[in-house]
Amino acid sequence: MFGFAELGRLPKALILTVSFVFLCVSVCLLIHVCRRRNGLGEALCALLGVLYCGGMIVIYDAYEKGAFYDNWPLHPFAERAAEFPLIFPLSGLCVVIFLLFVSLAREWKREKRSITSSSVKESIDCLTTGLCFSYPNGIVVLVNHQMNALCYRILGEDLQNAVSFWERISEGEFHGTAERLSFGAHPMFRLKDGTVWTFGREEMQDVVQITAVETTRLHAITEELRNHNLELAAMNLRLKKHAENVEEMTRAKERLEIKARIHSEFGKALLSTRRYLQDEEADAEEILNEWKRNIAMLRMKTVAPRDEDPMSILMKVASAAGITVELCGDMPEEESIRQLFFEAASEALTNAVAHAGATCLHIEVMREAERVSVRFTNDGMPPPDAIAEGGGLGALRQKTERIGGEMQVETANGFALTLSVLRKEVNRFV
Amino acid sequence: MYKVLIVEDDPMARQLLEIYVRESGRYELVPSLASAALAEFCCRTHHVDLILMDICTAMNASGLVAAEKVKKYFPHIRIVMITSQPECSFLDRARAANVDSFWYKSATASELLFVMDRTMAGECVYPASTPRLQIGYAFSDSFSARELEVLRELVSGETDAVIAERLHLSLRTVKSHIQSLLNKTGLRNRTELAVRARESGLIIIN
Repeated sequence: MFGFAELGRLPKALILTVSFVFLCVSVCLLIHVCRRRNGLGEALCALLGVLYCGGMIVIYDAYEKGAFYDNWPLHPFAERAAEFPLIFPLSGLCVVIFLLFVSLAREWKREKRSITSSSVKESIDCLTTGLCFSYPNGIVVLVNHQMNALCYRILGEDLQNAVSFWERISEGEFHGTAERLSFGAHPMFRLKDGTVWTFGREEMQDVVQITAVETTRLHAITEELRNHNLELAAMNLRLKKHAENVEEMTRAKERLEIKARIHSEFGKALLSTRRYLQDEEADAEEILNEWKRNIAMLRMKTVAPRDEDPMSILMKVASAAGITVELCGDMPEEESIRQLFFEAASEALTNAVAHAGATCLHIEVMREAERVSVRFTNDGMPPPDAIAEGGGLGALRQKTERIGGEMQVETANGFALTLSVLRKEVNRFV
Repeated sequence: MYKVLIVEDDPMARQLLEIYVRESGRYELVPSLASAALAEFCCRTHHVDLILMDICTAMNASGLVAAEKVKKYFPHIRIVMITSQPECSFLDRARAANVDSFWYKSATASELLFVMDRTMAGECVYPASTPRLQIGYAFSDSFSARELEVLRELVSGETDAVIAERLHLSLRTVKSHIQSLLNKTGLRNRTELAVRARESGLIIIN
């Protein structure tokens, strides 16, 4: 049984080195565990490691120094410890090393299982979506690989400041191979490889999140849809033109027929007159009527008078019956809305006469940027109670809603009918 | 003398009808209208005995709808619907709207006055059938009622699925009706069928 004192220089150095290494390991472990603030077992093991390895170094080192310098004040405990059979401290060291390894393994396992900041970073780096969190002043807290790569590919530099990055991608200029497809709150870029990315920015409590999503497929589908819609609109226009042509053709045909009819009526009148002059059996009065009719027909203006504006016709018809119609504002240009408003005006006029006994109908057309509405009021008696929307009003509501509009009937202060239509909606439906 | 209201949007046809009525010696005119939407108003403010009403009038107002309303509030007013359109459903819809008589605009003055006289005498005058129209190789009277219904939806541009839902038919039935129409007419596809039906005046969407 020999102690430390009897060993050669090399084994001594070896023992001291090993102790030093494990001293370092246990110090690191201790710091790591203490920072986490749980795991008592590991902390104790680490502490044991520190004390044991540290003790061994201090004692053996002191002994070595005492053996080297004659006047070195050597504590009798160190001298005795150095001669103590080496097997015991060495087996103690083995136990400590074993415990340290066990603790390290447990610590490593725990690291794998629990979420730490590095695991967060690692996982967001795996995302195909670009992600960047920053403080409102632009200092980046967390950014993933994808976002960094996108920033580099679009702006040609790394993501340093989130605020300036966002400004540049949403509004500012950039020198790169990427192509910006849209500006504003959701800037969209097409990269050199053909992929399309859409960026978004969201302010949370005290961080700002910038995301980038690949929308290549969506973009392609949207483009396709837009093209289809354009085609559809063109087709619709052709269909409408076609319908107009059909109507125009029918009218022209009708006019031609009328002219032919005038011609044949004239011939008929001549024939019956001749018959009357030859053998007086025919009805003279009937023939006179026939001639009157023919003369009137020949005097008829064959050039059709221009169609008058329907609203002015409505006013004329109303004033002929002693009803004043006051029209404020201009009727909308869209044919379908004009038709709807004209029908509503006819209905309002009829109702004003039928139920309210009114003498004046007030029509107010209000135009806004995207909406046009019309309000009808009259000076007649208010309806006795709520109106059941039968026939006319019901049909009107249906028509209004079919082109995406709204209809309101008020009865509180006299009857009032309001129709409101979105101009864009109508164009979409037409 | 009976008072007659004319509702007709084409100015020439309107003038002609006015002449027929004015020079007949037995009817008097109430100021004419271009749009059927105002017909009810006119009946409320004027004394009217008979209305000569076109079906497709100005501002897309349907004469049939107006006639139904007038008949509801003024059952004593006689109505003669006049049209130049050979639309297949007009006759049935006129009957449903309680219209007294129905005639075509191509009639001569004496024919039309005859229809008016008979109507005022309390008779109902309707043509025996709608005019025969040729579509492709087929004539319009060879189509069944269901086929005409399907054709009407087809002209308005609906898909088979929507047609089936609207008419409470199965998709397969709708497809077979369309196929049968195509077989009868010998036309190539549904678009051509829709266009021909619209052009001929057999189907008018209003």
